[in-house]
Amino acid sequence: MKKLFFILLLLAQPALADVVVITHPSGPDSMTQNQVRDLYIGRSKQLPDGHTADPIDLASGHALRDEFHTTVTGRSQAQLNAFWSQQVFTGKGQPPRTLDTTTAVKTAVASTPGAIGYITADEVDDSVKVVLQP
Amino acid sequence: MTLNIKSNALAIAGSLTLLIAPLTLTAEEEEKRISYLEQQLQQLQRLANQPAQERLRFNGFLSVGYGLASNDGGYADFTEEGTFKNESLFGLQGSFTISDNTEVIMQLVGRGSDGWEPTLEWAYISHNFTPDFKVRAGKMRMPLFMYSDSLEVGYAQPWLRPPEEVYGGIPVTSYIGIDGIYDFQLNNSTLSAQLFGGESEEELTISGQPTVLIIDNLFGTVISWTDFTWTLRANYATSEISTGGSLLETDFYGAGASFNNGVWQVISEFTRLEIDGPTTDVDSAYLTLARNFGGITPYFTYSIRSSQDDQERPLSRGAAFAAIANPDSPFFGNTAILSASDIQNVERTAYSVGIRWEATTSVSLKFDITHATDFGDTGGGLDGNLAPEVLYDDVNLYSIKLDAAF
Repeated sequence: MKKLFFILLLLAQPALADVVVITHPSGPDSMTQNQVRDLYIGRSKQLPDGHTADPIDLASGHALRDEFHTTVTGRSQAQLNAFWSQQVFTGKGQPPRTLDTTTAVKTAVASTPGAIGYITADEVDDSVKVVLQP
Repeated sequence: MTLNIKSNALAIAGSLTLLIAPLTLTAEEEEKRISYLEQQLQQLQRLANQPAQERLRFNGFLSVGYGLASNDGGYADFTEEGTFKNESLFGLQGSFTISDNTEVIMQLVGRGSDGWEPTLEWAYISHNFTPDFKVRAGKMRMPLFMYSDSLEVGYAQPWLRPPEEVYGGIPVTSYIGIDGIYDFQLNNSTLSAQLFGGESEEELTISGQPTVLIIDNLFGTVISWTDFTWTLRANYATSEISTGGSLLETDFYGAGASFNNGVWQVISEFTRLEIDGPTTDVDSAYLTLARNFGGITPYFTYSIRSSQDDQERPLSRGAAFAAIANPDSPFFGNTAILSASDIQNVERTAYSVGIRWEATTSVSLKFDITHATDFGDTGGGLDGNLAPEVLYDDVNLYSIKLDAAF
């Protein structure tokens, strides 16, 4: 019964694309999930190599954004919004900048040293470096 | 910024000319120049693609809340006549970046209870001496509770309102002064140490009386640790307070813990307020349990509030009112004597059940029912019970609230 329920749950889910975390080609060779999370919740401002980090999020409503945050920060969109409103209104920081499409994220990351973003695995090419496959 | 890009572009153009002009370059020199050019290009890319940090940002929040109590005891300032006034408010915050390490933050809050007249709730300048050490000066929130900083930002909170037994006890929420915050970056967690000092003077209504409360020589510290899932916090503050009479030494202790794994949220705080003399010393605590089911998060809160120095107020409320009413008494007409009577004793337990529903992006709708009871021999800290007889033994409060952040 439990198994059946699990299968149904799998069927009910839309097919998820594999999310990969990317940096500029000059970025670090790999990062841990916690290092990436800390950049996206504003707790850390630097890449492991000391570069000032420029984390880029997908705009709210993008399916890949939900997938990334469910895996990496462990928070739903509503919880993230609540978290950021707490940070913003206590002067602790602002959320990462957002772009509308994975293409825009890839272009921005490919051309901005220090930038970090996430796209689907099949979009990866030489212009960016994959640092984490969460 | 634009100027920088231009000068870099000029530098590259210049280098290009240099590179092309002398055709007699050795391969080695050429390599050097190319690598120099690549560096320049990277720098230029960085400048062009990393958007300049916006110098000025505005954020806002809004709450519209309605509450209705089962009696006129005044629990959380609500009565049988329901009202939107108490918990409806808007906030507008401006963050002005002065330099990479310095910013000014101002927050205006207009409350329904003040006729929506905006008042400056925050106004401070903050400077990062190092990435981990920040000093702020100006008007800030008194950091007595876990949710002090976002006290009025309902959207950032799981509850409809912070537990009244704990948060309702301190009428002053801001101070003017200076603080320093040092973050120790540990392996996968952060330990923050904060020291603050300052003063405050505010016109308030205490026990139904308009009062100017002066807080002087305020000093305190907050130690908190978080790994994003767990948060632990301990704080202490000391000050001298007065409502026109003598200065009373006041100490405040707080401890809190919270857990949030995205599904379950557990929050608990304990506070102790100690004031010299017969002014009520109070212990308070709460425990909140919330569970996230997609966009709906039901919660339950158990909270208590209990005065600790009842032996310092041996006079009964009956005797106090009799003395005030008796023309032969030295206290005839002097209501100040009430503050030394057991009318100020407090015992109260409250149970809240509520739901937070994510109505749409950055807007949540909340429902809450709170039952406050177990007043013992006391009036339960209700203003409506500051009478010769205790009129209310318990109270229910029904509330609905919309919170938004933008």
